[in-house]
Amino acid sequence: MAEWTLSDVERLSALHDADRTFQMTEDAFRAFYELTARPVWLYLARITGDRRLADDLLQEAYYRFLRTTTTFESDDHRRNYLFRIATNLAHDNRRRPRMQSVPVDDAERSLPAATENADQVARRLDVTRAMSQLKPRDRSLLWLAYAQGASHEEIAERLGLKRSSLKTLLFRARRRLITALGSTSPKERRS
Amino acid sequence: MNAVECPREHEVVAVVLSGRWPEGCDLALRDHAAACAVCGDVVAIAPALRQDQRLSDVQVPAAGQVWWRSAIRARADAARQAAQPMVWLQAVAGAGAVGAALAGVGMMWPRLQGMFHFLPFTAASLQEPMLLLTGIGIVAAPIAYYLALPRE
Repeated sequence: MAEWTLSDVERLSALHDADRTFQMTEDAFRAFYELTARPVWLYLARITGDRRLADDLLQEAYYRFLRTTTTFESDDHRRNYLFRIATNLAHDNRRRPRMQSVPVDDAERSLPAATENADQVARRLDVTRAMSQLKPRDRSLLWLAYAQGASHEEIAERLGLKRSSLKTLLFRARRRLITALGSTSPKERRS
Repeated sequence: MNAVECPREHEVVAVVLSGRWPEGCDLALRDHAAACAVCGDVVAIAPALRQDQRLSDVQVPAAGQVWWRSAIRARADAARQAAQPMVWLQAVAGAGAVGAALAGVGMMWPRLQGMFHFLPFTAASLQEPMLLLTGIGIVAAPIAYYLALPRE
């Protein structure tokens, strides 16, 4: 039988307690994850423009969320905190050298739904292409405000911005998207 | 109302996100959106973003898988943290050993000098360089030891 050193004992004790340091139980995590994973993944995919990166950042975001020692006042606070982690991860990632990416596919996004007509499909494709030309912060703002319907308070909390400057930032992001739409949409170009 | 914000923006966004824009919402709100620059911009972009959000193909891993991966990683991080004090202890011991070796050489120096009397310098002339070398060794040894250790 191998002899045990003090270091081994310390490590085993640490291993045993590792997932007890998570800030919620597995059942609570499953419920929270079911509610948040899809919007968080979509948010990451849209602001990074890379599906594979969104997969990696999703895992990292939940890991950091589970390890946090923050006390949450409400479910909204918890959800906003998770989005804040996701936002920071996406921003940090931009500063690192890029690995091979798997871009969010325009063709896949343009698949028409049964309820969509051709104009709606074309418009959706124009908007998503124009979004990809914007700065990441503008993409974050517009996606949270108009795809996820987050309130200004929620957006400020999720992006770490001041509430007072949010309206102006959102206004500018909207204008930039409208301008980008003008340069990407064939209909707009013709007119 | 100014050009940056409109008090009815949230109302317009709510209608768009509920899928009631444009046919399902009341005429007054549509008239407002047609006249308001802010809400006009919102209805130009929000329906497409909402559709993108609604129709995107999203395949996230199962909750159990994310939990399991997080638990494994937490254990690896905990193991690394638990090993850290031992690394520092070894580094301090290494520095002590280097210091003791240099002190030993210093104590033995008069005898060693007798053995190497043919050398073109004296013990007094080496005192400062020896002190300097001792100091550098004590500072550099733990750093070199720490850098030499594998990170994972």
